[in-house]
Amino acid sequence: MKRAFVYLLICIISVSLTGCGEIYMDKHEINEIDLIRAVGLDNIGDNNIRMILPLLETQSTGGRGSSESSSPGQSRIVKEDGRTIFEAEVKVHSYLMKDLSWHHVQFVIIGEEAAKEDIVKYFDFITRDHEPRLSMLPLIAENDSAENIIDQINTSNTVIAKKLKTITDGTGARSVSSKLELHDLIKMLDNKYASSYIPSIRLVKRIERQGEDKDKKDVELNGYAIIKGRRLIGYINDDTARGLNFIKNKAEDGVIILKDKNGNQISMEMLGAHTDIIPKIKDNKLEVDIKVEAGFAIAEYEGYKDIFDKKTLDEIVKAENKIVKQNIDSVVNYAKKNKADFMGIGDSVYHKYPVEWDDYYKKNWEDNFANIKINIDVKSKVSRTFNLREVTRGKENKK
Amino acid sequence: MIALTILLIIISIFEIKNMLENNQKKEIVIFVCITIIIWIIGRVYISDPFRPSIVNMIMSAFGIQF
Amino acid sequence: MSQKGKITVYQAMLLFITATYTPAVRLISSVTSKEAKQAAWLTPFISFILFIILIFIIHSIYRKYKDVSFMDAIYDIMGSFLGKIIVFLYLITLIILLALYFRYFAERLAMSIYPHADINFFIIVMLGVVGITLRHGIVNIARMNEIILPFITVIFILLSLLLLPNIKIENLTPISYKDILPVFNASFSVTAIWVYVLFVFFIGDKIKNKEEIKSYGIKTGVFLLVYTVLMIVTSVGVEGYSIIARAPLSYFIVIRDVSIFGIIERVESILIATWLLSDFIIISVFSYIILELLKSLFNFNDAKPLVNVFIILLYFLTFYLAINVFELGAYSEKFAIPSNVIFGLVIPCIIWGVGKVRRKV
Repeated sequence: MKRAFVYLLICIISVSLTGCGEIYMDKHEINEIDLIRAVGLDNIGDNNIRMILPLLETQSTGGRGSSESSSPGQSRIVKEDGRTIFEAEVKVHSYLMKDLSWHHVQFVIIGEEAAKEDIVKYFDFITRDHEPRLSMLPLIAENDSAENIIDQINTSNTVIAKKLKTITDGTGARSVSSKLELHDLIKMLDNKYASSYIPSIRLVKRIERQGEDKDKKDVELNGYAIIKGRRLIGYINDDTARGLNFIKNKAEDGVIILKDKNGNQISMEMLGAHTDIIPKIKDNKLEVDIKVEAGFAIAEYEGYKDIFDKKTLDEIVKAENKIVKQNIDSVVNYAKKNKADFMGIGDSVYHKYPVEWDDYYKKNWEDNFANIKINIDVKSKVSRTFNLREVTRGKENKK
Repeated sequence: MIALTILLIIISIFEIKNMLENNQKKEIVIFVCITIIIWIIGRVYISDPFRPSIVNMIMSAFGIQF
Repeated sequence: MSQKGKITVYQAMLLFITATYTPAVRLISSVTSKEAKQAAWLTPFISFILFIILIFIIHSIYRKYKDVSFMDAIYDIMGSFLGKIIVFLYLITLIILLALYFRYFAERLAMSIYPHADINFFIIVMLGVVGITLRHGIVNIARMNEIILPFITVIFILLSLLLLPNIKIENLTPISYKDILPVFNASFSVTAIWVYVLFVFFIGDKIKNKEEIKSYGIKTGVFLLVYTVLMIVTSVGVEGYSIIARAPLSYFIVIRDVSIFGIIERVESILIATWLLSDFIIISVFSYIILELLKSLFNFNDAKPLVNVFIILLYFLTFYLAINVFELGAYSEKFAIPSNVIFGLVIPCIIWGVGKVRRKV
């Protein structure tokens, strides 16, 4: 009898506690939450920050959201200024019909001016707060503000988070950029002997489609922003960015265009690459070997010759190696010129020679790094082509 | 403070009654002393929750800074 | 399985393992990373050696003092007066440790998922549950733990498997002779938790089959070694030591980023469930030990009358202990770790040494 009474009491208490809003203040119904998928942060001067939140309308079923009239599935942008990001967020909370949820933020876009000022400042709230996750992807708005990019891309029909997900998932296609998670960026920023890189996005004009606004722009992931210390110093794009991808083992796919003896273009599809960075101490001097092994396939050929004989294939391989070496050379030269080791050379030296690193090399590393001899050795092969081998009417043209 | 005092009195009455039934007279004395110490600790905390904490006192006593 | 009112050494060791889970998840990865950096995963190996020494000491003492608690052994070896002083110091240490774990239990929930909730609510609920549990004795706690620990173990293994693909070897290397001293220093934080096995034997009069202390002790040590190394390897291997060293909830932030094929994600809630269960066990066990210590010090026949007032004391101590989580963290790292090593390892060694000299052991 006593036990039954106790069990009944427990059930009554458990049920009644579900309504305890005063105690359990963090409980929110799903229809009262605005999920943030992407956020933009800009420096607008006078020590003020602008936070740009593209939000997606969800079905309003009543309660707090019932007075809004926008349609579900449409996106809208909320902007707010503040002295800090948290102040801006709190201001938004005060007038938004729903509560913001940072649990599902996938992208954070930092404007160029903000990145030039102090990139770490803009990440502190996001890394410190309990809601955002460290697996989100940071991006820098190249030569632009985060606000402009979000305004241009986030329309009633296009949600910027989906657009960014598409382009970040497809980074392997050209291999001129890559996905970088926030915790990897923090690790780079924590390393006081190295610089950092962050994927950069920019607005571009694509070929106009019928019925589309002729001023409509698109966004592309085109390379990396280079951060030295806490500040943006420049960008690397296209081939130079691909060179970095080779060094970081992030070159998955992409195209390299060669020319045959007659000037006809051959499109080589990259099948993958593997790079080893091997530091060595020779005659008390530090040298670094960068050894790349890559595989290619012949994706397209606009000439008529049979290029599948050994001699031509060897020439193609030499040309590939030269281009890959040029890509890597360009990123090495950029890094040395700016005394910014964002390639991880110092980290490789530390891993192979931890004692020597601690005793000699880490002092003034960014200066020493500029004078290190870096040898680049590229070995590639042409693995295959696909459906057809020889060119159509190729034999006829040979005559 | 009043709530704490009433709660301690109710618990004491209940426990002392049980101890008397079990003829645990020595235990009653020690129990009452412990209850008074607990009342004092509660009183000290409630009077000023922002006073230096136990951890602060221990670390200061051992000269540990943070 | 267990006689009325008594538990086996096996059950006692299981209680100890569950009790170590909550401080391990909170403390070990971040403190070891701060000191030993990328070599943090080597620290449990040194602690294992110290743990085995402690097990051998406990086994040696209990070869002579078969059916008594560790307090009684102290009284006999060190003399009644000195013994009471030592037991009193243990009592104070354990009371502060218990208040620390209670406060951490509530603060951890507030830091991770309920930032605006009043921690009073969590504390009162846990106090109520612990208060009811204490009245039913250590046997019920041990039996409950026989279900809780396998659950925690399975969840931990699953989470570790999910993290394995994200581990980067470069985060765990290089290892050189320069890491020896940092690893040794960092191992004290692991040892400071593993010495709780001694505290479990303060209720040695409730534990039978003490001839098996050595065998179960070694197996427990191996289990602890494996799971602690795995915890540090997954934390530091995934995020890197510089992030883990700064994270108050290091294992939690690692689990939050688990994503397998973009389908298995957001699994941190199950980690919180394991924390809560482990917190419940460590609070219950420490509370029980403290009540037994009080019973021993003041020669009570039964500690049950003290349960209710003890709960109230615990409530106030939990808040009075520290103003904020930063004081708690500083106390844990700078005071609690050395004091645990002293009370958990050094003093038992001294007691054993005195026992050997006086031919009591």
